[in-house]
Amino acid sequence: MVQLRRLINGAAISLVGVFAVCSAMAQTLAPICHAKMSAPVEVVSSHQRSEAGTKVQPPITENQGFDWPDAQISALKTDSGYFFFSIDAGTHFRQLWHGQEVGNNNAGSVVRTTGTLDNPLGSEPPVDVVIDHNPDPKVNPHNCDPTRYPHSFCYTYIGGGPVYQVPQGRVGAGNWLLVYHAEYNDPNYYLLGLAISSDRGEHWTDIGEIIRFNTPFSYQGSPAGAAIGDPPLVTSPDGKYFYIYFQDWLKDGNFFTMASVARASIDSVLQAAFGGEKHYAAPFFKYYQGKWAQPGIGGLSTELLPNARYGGGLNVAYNSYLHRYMMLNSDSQNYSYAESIDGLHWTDTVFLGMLGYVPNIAGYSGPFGLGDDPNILGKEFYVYYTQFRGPWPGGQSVKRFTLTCR
Amino acid sequence: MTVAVGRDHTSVKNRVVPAFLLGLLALLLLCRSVAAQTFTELYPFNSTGNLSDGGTAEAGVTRDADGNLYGTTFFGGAGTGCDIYYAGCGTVFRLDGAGTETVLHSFSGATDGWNPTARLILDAVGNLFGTTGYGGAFGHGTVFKVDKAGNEMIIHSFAGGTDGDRPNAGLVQDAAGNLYGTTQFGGRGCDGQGCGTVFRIGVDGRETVLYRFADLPDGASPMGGVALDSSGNIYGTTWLGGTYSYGTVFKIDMCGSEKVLHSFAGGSDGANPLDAPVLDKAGNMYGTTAAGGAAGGSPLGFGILFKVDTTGQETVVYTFIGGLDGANPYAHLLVDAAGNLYGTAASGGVTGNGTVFEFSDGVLTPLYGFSSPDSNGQNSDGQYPMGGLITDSAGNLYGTTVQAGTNGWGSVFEVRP
Repeated sequence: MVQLRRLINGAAISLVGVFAVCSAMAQTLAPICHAKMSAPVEVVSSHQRSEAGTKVQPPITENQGFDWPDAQISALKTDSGYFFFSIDAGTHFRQLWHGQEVGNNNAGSVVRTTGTLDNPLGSEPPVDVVIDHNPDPKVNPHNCDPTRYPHSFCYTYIGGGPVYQVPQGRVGAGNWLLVYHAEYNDPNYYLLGLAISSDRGEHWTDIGEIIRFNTPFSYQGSPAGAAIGDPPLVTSPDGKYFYIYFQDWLKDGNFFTMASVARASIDSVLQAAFGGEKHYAAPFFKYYQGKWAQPGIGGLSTELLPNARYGGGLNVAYNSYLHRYMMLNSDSQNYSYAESIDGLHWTDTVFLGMLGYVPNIAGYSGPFGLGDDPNILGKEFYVYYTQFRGPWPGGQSVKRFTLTCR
Repeated sequence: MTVAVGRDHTSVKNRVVPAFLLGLLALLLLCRSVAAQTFTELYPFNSTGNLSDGGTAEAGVTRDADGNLYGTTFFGGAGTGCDIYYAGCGTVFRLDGAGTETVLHSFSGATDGWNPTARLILDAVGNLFGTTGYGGAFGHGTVFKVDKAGNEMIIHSFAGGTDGDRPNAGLVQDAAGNLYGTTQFGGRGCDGQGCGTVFRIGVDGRETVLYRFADLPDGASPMGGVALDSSGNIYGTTWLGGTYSYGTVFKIDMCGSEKVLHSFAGGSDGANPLDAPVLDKAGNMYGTTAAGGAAGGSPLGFGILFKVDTTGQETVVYTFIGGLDGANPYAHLLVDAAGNLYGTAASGGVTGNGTVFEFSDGVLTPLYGFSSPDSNGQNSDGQYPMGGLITDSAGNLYGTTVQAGTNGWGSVFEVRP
């Protein structure tokens, strides 16, 4: 309030007015979905997942099995069904396969399956490939082979799921752009990066980091409370930007946010990724105190859900029925959602129900539209998640529930 | 990748357990400190080292007149044909007074069912009755009997559809020997999956579906079985559905008419009950909700204890804070002759790994808080008591944990208040 008083002069009155409108918007925006959650159904059993692990290509090289899906399931719709994408958390050791060296000695991968909404695993062998290092080592020096460079600082995990297919008429049309999740242990932080594919997910190439926690967290046997996740790119209301939502780990004493956002112009991202001989990630900027000026790599960010209930992992998608963005939150037990018109100001979170029961938790949830674009939600949409059961890995299955706006 | 956790949660080995740091001061005003008691780990599963003795006992135990305890394990045993396979497809076990465990039946993972999650009941001659949510002749679950010699017999294999599907809760028996239970799915509604059923199995083994849920307004996905009163009325809960989609408490009378006694609104009145209520001598019902009940300055809800009186009026009798009192009570309560309630909270407590509690005279007293497992997933007492409690004539309490314990696969325990 003291700061506001200081701002009140002739030039600042309109600014105060803007703040007031935004503040009122944040406080008064009410959810309109009134979502109803169905009972979950199992779409991939533990046994089916385990069996699929015997068929993946390239073959699994260590005995942890097919540790999938270790992130939310994302998809692109095809003429005959869907390509689904998620992560196999197992380590993918370097191996000679069909005359090529594959694997990166890291945990994580990009798994592409071909299936239907009722069977996202499908019957075809899953394609389980790693994200290859960029040919230019300057693009991402942290993504290196930990066995070749034992004294270097390499990721301990890199894998991804959300895929953006570049539409016709734009730079890189037809190529795929992937958001990956990576982990780095010295100092310890989680991060998001981009990878590209020109052959429908048979190969992926790292083009660099875009989001990193504001501060590393102390890794003392436990992961950070903030799971940065593996969120999708979301188109802004004006269609000019990619928004990406994540939990941030802050050094200002607030520990972590329930939801932060960063953006980059779509043109800049596509130009950098596909427009030249070298492929790299355009910089993203975090939203902080009303400005998009903080660097995506290590910058500060504003808490978008200051009064959040039942938060945790988050996923944002546009709902064309509501003409609003919807954010699904889950702490792997309790599920909730929030709505927003502009992607910045959100309703309070609405509790959906308790779905996971310690130790049988329900993690990695993601919303899924039933129309031509799975990233666009409607009146009714699906949420897929990983149902944990028993020791990890081994007993997990994939379940799905339906959310209906009433 | 790390599984998401909320603002008031911490994560251990990619698993989520609430941290329960909020509200500790408030808790001191609402519940007594941990009472003096004696805790004994009666049996740690995986004592054989290969899980042949079972592992992950989710349902608690039942006790015969000789002091033997009986229960089920989700994993372990000798079966190999189940879908969720982890060194076996589950067992029915007996634990005698000397601490010797015997596997009475190892589920094969075929027509005899697999991965049981429900408590057992005993009849007068020592037969055990239970359910498996999976397997059977049609793959939709079973009601089974295991005799004293360990012979298993399938009493009913659910056919799915209108017959019911996924009977993952325990059974109750009336004076005439009829068995009653619930299926999570099947029946009608819920986009073809079925919103669940209440069923009866007569002494002749014939199954009758007494009620098929329709989601609105009567609820969906009954997860906890039922309770019976002396007049033959049936009481239970649904996990989901009802007016607000957070579950219901229901009554089915002798004519098969269902009445919703309470629709949970997901706020202070709780949400998502997972087990059946219990009845006291006056006919009042007591139960738990796994979630909801936000209070005490915490934005999170850690579940409640509720009462529904004979007029159908619901009252929240205790709201879990997520501190020493525990959090997320999944299981049914135990009511003693004096009207005291005993139960478990699957998490919360001293280390966040669950509690055993007593609720009497409006005050909740934590009787035991489970310890944290070491880096091998082991401790001396167990972790996450998901099942309910039973008692003996001396007032000792018995239950199970699903993880940790001396050998890492859960335990059978005794608490002497």
